[in-house]
Amino acid sequence: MAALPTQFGEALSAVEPDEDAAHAQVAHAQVSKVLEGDERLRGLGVDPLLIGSYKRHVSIKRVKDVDVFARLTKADGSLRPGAILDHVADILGVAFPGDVERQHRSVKVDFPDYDLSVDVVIARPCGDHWEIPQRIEEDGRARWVETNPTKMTELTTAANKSFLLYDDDDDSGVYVRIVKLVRQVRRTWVNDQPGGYYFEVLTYHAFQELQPDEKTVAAYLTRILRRIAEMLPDHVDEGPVDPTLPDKTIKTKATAEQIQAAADQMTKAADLAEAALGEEDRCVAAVKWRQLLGRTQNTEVPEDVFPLPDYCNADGTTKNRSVIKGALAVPAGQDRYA
Amino acid sequence: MSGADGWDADLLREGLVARDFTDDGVRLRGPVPWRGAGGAEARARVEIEVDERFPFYPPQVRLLDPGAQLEVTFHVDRAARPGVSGNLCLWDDAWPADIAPWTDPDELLSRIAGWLEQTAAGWPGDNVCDLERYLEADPTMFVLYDAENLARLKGHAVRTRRGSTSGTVEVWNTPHRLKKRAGRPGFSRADRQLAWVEDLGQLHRPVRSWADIHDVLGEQAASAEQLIAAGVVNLVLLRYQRGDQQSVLALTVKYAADEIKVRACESADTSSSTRQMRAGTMAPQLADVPIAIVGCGAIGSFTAALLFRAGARRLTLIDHERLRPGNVVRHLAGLEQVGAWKTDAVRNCLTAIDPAIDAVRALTTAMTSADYAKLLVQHHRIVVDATGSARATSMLAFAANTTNAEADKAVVTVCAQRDGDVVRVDRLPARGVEIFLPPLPALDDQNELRENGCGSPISRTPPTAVVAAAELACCVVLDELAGHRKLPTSVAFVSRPQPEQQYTHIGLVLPGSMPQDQVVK
Repeated sequence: MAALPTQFGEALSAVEPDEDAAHAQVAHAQVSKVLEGDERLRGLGVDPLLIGSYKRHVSIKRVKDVDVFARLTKADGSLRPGAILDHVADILGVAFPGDVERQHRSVKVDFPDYDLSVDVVIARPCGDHWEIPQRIEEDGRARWVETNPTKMTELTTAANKSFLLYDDDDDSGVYVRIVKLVRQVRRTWVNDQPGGYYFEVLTYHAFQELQPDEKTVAAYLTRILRRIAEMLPDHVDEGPVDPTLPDKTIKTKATAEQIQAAADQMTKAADLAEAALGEEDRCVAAVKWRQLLGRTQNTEVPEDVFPLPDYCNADGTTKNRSVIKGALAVPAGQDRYA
Repeated sequence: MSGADGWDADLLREGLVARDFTDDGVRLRGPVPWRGAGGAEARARVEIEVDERFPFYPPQVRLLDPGAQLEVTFHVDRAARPGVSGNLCLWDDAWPADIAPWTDPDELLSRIAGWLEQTAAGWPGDNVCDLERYLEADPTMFVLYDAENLARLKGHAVRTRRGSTSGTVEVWNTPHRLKKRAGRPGFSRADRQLAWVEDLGQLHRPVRSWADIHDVLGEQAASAEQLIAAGVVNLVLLRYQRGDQQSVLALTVKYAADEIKVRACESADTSSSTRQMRAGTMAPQLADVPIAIVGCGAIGSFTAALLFRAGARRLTLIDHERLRPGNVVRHLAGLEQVGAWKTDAVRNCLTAIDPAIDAVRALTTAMTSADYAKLLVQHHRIVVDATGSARATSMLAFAANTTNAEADKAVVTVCAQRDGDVVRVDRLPARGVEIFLPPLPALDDQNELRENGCGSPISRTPPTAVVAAAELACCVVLDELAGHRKLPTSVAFVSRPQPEQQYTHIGLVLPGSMPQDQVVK
């Protein structure tokens, strides 16, 4: 069993979007300030909220876009989304000239210095949930679609409290770590579609089904990857159930062929993880783990996510350990005084 | 055995995971089976952290749950934060890193189980005095006390004074009588910065707060508490016993919000017996042996210091010269002693090691006659000749050779030669068939060093050779006094090969099988 927990800890640090996270906070704060400073939006009870993978702490390097959910708490059924989106685009355009783009049902603000963008989605209350415009017609009318983006944050937090490495430590949640690693495996093994959120949902379902209880991050990842590989072929026609809205399924841009291709790739990834975990030789295993997790993407210099132990060569052989520094034997033996 | 490349750490981690531990890459948590009180099986849960010091140091182990009724007492570090266990002390620093039993998961878990079992049993036979470990530290103060005198005090206040170095506090040895101010509440000005001395007796658990101390002392604690609250006492010295060992715990105390806060400070015993503990095994038998050191120059000064440090107390220092600035680089004494007689300078240096120098005599005389040499030999068990003077050595050799052999006297003459490349010690008289090493002939020196106003040329012997010569002389003296007599009559150490036979190799040279024509008798 070559679980290499120390290296997995370092791999998780390698995909941690530290700098992006700082930039995302600044960008979100700047956009929120503009929205909250507008009189018309204040009248509609604007209450911006960060959503998405960054908010759920499951994003990995690099975070390219940050989602802001512009909740209009006082909006009613008469609100025409086209008009309000135009208004949001206008005020943001003044604040961030040249960096604002009105999109299908959101407004995108670019932050070129940070190489990331903020997507502002407007929402109106709908009972306990929220609705966002599904499609906006020429006249500004729209069909609204129910959504609950904050629910996924709650589910993620709950799963991370439920699946613990150490039963006696509430801070030892393993779920978030595995979501990040699965996202990294997807980036490495799956060609574009389905996206990261789709795999996050699969990971969520895999955890709920398997209720895994393992000793290492490597063992958790291996089990979850296998389950995802098994689940994918079942979703060629229809996506997995949306954990936030149990009567709905996850929509994806991926075609049936792409889902099937992803299933094939994830099967290979799961095979590789199982081979690495079962490997007796730690250096051979380390190279397999490195292959599984690939390199950081969208970074200036792509780097291997999984570090090899100091005693391993890049080809998976073990270094000649007789020349490794720090031999422990003391020439003079014991009972010395100085 | 390997080093710090992570191999051993990964091997240990793997082994622990195979033994039901969970590993997040930083710490491992898992079970340790052990036998509780009465042999009942228990299953503790521990946290193990294999940090960057591994495998040179053991991993850090913290107890999460003993799995049975257990009061954690000794051999555990103070917790880093409330609610967390401190690191268990499983192996002390004396454990050699190349054996490193902690790299083996079974050894590690067995050691933890042993620790739990010892804790449950109350650490029978344990005599480790390390109460400071269990308290918050006060690094600003270093307390000096005389344990022998302190032993006579219990339930007393004593005065303190600042020591000679920053942060050092010296505790007086006599009880202090507190004076109430006439007609006014409180105490007089003299009653400040006092220390309170108490005896906790045999301890079965560490004290971690004043409440613990109060529990041990009972009603006796009241006087101290009153004085601490009044701001009169700011230091508490607690004698305590663990097994057959006694020690003292020094605490700074502060009264605030109806509570006495205690912090442990480093403390040390100044009593003679403690200061002599590191003097070596011969210290007790050296204390009463009269030893003369003739010549208190470079080699003589260091010889005197080494013998004094080793326990010799009846020393006679003889020299008729003053310490010159140029001497200091090779001499025991520093620039502050320039101008003093060399004997006084050496004696002053010895005072800094141990103030008990009543039996150290400093004589400002020269070796002017054979009779004086004979007197020295008669009145001392050993005379060390560190004069480097042919005349003085001849007189002492004559005195040694003409003294009754039954008298068990010896002259040990020490010198450096060939600019310090050879250091040599001869013991006189030779006994039985003993022979001396052949002498090294003087070499012509075209570049003699001379100091203005100083008659004889200056040796180019470096300070390292001076210390080596002094050390060799002390070896011979101690061999003689211990009664071993394992060393021959001549001993030399060659640090650079010389052309003469016997001196051609680096290392120790002893009189061996020399051709008869070279034997010196």
